[in-house]
Amino acid sequence: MSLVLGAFAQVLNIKMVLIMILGSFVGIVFGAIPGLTYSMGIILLLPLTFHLPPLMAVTLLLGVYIGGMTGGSVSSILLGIPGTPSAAATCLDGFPLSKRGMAGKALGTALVSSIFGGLLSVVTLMVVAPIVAKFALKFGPAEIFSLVFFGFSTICGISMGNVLKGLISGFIGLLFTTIGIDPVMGMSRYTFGIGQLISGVDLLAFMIGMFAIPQVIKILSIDESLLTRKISARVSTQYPSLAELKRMFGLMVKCAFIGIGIGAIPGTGGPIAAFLGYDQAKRKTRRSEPALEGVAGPETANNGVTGGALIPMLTLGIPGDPATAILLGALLIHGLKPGPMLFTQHADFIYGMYAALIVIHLIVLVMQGFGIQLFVKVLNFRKSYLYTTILVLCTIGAFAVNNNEFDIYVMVFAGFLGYLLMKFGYPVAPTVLALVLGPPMEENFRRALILSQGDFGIFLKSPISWFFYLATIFVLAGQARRSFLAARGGSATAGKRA
Amino acid sequence: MKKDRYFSVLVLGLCAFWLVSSRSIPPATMPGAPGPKFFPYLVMGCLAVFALLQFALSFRNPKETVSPPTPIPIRTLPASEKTEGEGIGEDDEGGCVDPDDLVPDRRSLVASFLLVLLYVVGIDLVGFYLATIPAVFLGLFIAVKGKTPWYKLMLPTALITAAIYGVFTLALRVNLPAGKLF
Repeated sequence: MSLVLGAFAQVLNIKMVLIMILGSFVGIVFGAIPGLTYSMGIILLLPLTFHLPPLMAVTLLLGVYIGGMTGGSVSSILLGIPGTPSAAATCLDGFPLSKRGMAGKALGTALVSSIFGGLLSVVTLMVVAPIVAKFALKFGPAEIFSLVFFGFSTICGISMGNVLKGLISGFIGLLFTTIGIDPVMGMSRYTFGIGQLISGVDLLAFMIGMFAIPQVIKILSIDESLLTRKISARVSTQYPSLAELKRMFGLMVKCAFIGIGIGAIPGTGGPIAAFLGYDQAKRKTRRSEPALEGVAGPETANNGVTGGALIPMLTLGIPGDPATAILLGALLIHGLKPGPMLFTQHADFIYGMYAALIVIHLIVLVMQGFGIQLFVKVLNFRKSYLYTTILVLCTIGAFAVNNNEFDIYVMVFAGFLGYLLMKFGYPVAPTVLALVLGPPMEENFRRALILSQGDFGIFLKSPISWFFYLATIFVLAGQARRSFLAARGGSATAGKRA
Repeated sequence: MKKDRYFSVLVLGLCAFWLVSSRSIPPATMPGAPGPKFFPYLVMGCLAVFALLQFALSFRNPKETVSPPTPIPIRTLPASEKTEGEGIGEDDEGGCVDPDDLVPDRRSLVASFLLVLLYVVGIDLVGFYLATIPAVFLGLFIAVKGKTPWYKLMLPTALITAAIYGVFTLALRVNLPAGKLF
């Protein structure tokens, strides 16, 4: 009890509340504006956190994460343009409801269900994470390697519905992790005569490049009027009635747990959970017409992902989605190594984070509920101003990490690579996640072999390793089968939504 | 698909480049233990296999063409469920739009790439602010695609640069690149 009270005492002070308000606001704005994503918001705010204490820094970024996941529904409902990929399913019933004069109700339902899903996921995180962390303490190098291998493979396999493309993208990322000092013997490799590469590719600069630059280039090149629709009427949030809430409660609980489960599987994330939530909503209503359930289902599920994705990130150091990969990078920058030891060595930080997550959800509920007019105005903001400013912010962010101009070049290289991947239809997320998972994968792989004196049998000795290898095969085979069926069926959208 | 074929060749080229670069890496110093080349070789091998597989699969359906993006379906409410509440108005026609499906203008795309590249080189040479002012102006110029006269972009350029200066230099005192020439 004293831990819980202490945790809330850590976050309920003026500075922390202001930080949470700032993070939530930036998150809702980045979530609401089509083309911007909360991952981009997190990565752009990360350099501003360098001088903040770890809890304050992570709280700011969590505010963007939760605000972004919730704010995505605003443009989905009002414009019919998903603010984030996770809000694409909300568009299906949200926009028709809006066109028929129920925008306020749809926005209110989206907000309440998002917060419900998010809070339930935080409670699940608080219950499940310590158990997983305790179990993970038993892992040796071989088990950690199998776990990282599982995380990496599923991320590659599931990311865009095409296993092979995901794997190619992920292995390109792994190749870049081999640049710089070798993690076991300290030998320099693949520096190509460039002195700055001895310390490796800077993760943050690479992430900024991968997530932001391709979007900046693309949006500057398209007609911005295509991403803008006039909102002719005044809109305010109308919360669902008690009867409506009672009607949707079962669905919301179910979708929240779908979101949590999906979030906990590395590489899945919000879009998949949201479409599964939408599917549940349609099963419940048993009619094809748009209904509030079609908004509540996907919104509860995609916010359920937030807490779920934090479980493997905090307990095992495996990010569930790109946003948690950036959060993992943020923790590392602030000297906190995610994994089971985080729960024993920095328990106050973990509890502070739980408390912050709860308060952030309440702030988002109030902010988006009362400030909807402001966010509607933000939707009308000219994209040309926004993206030009983001380009400048990207260079500041890349430079500010190490005060090194070379990192700006790294950012541009990663940006061009990201655009190339996007252009050829390859997912970007596996490359970035490989940069996070590559070093622990190599380090544990080689440590295990050193311990076994070169005997590869060490990787198959433990039942934990077997479990992760079988899980990897199961996930990849399942995804490959779905890809094959989608290709045979000629479904262009199936792969994208999977 | 041709796209996959070209990309597979690029990936194989990347693997070959990495392989050639591996020659300068010293061998393992601990007997029996994998050296610094081991993991990169493993990654290169897997990547090359995947790229070859993709290359082979790209011939599987040569007639396949890029299908147009499928619009997200929109259903309308039955008249009985229409309400008098708030909304965006029935006059707003059209379905959901996926931002990923929008096709960039080729000339603007090339200009955007050049802008990013020149901006970074500019920062390196003349410093952050001297490079940022023209970069912001050019970014806006590319984005408006001739719909706004160039002189009307000068005010937003000044405002954006001033806002960046106010936040990062005056308020946060962030150290920004100085440039090699000045």
